Amino acid sequence: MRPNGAARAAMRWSAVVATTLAGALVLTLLLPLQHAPQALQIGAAAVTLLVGVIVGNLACPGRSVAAPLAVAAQAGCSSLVLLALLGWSDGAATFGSLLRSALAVAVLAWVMSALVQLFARQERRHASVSLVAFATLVLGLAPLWGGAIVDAVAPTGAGADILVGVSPLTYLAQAAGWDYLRYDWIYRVTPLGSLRFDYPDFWISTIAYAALAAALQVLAAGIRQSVSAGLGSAPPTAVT
Amino acid sequence: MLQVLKHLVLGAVFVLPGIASADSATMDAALKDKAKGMTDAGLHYLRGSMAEDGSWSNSVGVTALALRAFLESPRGYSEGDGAFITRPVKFLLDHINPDGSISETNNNRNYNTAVAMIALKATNNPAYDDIIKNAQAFLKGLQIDEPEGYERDHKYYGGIGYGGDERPDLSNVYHALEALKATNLDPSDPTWEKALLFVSRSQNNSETNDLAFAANDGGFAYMPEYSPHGGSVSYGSMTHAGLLSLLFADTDKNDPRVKAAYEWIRANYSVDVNPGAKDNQGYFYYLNAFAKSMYAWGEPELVDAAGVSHNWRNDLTTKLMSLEQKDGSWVNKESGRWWEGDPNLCTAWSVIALNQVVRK
Repeated sequence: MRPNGAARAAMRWSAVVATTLAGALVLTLLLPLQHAPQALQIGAAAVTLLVGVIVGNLACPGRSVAAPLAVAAQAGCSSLVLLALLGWSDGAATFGSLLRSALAVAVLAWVMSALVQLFARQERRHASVSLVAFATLVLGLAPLWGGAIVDAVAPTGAGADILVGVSPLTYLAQAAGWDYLRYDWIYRVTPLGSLRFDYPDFWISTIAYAALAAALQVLAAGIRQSVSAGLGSAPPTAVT
Repeated sequence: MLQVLKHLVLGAVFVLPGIASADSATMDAALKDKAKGMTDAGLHYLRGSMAEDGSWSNSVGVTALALRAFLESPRGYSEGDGAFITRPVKFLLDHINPDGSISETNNNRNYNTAVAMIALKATNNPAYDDIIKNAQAFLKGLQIDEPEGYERDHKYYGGIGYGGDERPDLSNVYHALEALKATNLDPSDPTWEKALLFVSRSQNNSETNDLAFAANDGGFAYMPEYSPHGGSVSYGSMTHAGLLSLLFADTDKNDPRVKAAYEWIRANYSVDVNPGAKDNQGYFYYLNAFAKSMYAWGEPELVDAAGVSHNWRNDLTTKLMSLEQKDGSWVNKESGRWWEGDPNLCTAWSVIALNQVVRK
């Protein structure tokens, strides 16, 4: 049975509230980063992204699959609220950088939710969300675990650029205008900061991620249609 | 007129041998010729590797260092010598930002701006005075102090970082101070005193470092409490950078920090490795800093801790001869860290070092 419009709206807003609260809770763990306001900013963005995608995709009732753009909007709103509170309390972040961070969260949430939609089958929705969240974490932290590999294998090639470029953490850091690979703690963990690399431009990354999300969403819709045509049954409903 | 000629001849008879002997005491004459030859070969390589837009390695930093190598070479190149000087100058000028920095990227703005300032100053062209003044203000603005919310007791205080974060390190500070010194920043400017606080806290010298973790060998780490080679271990490139930073700030040779750094250098004298560094990382950076600090120290020879005397000019020239590639370039084959897999950078570092060797 499909929920009515009021129920859907209630669930959507409760997802936003839950994401914001969960993000605020996790942020208390990031207090050691208090001397780097930008670190706190991307930490908050990363938390709202992950929590937003997980909550947004699992909060859908029955046989429905969350619409990626709706999850993106929810995560973006949550992060904007949290980042605005953070920026207001800290006073360091500019309004522009907060907006960029919220946009980055929304775009990444769109990509992740499109991936969830691509992989999701009714009985495996939780597994799909977990897989996508885990993959995002692994990719996001690639500069940390992959830096030593690049340093050992090809310190002067394009490896460093690729590793930095594919990481969603880089995208969030660029939104905050932060050279995160030179941050004290990260610099100690990975040698990447001492190799030659360039961060990708924020707006080019935004376009690339958005294009990827759109392509994944189209692909997922095509697969769902062909599967339902093959089975002769109704596909999982996208909550819009 | 005859009297004047007589004085000139007499002067030449008495003075010239003095100059010659001072020169030969400085370094071996044959090696000096070799050093000049290597400088020419290195610059020839750089002329060939320059990009169409006048840059090297598409980087303001590498371009500025290569340009400096030309401008400070014994040939005394200047903008009047042609496009191989004016094109890199234009590349630097094309990357001046509204905030006064000179950089193609937001992430290395301190390094890039600092080395670009030195190169522009070395042109001796007064047209760049305002650009240099703005760049000075930019570098001073990067310094970590009260406006960033740091008090004097914080280990970051007085430091300067890459420019895209707030994490300072001694290497960035050293480059900034070298640029500020080369461009004649007022010695009474508070930037110097604040920077010295950070420099002192990067030294493993409990006598002068107020941080509890300071070891006591007199050398320098990358930043207070941290060395990329383990713990807060002292190493060559940072110790020469630290010594130079102290000297740029007009610290006296008898200052305990200077004496402790020099003692570390005596105890770890080497042109074969970057002492204390893993895998010879940053070796050409080390040789560059070594040459500049030895030149600034002003002694032709250094007696190491074992009592062995070293002519640093001879040693450095001989070592660079052994490492020179057939095409006149140098490259760090042991480690690509800090861009040393790039022959443009290593050649620029090496030629600048050789310029110190043959410099009067």
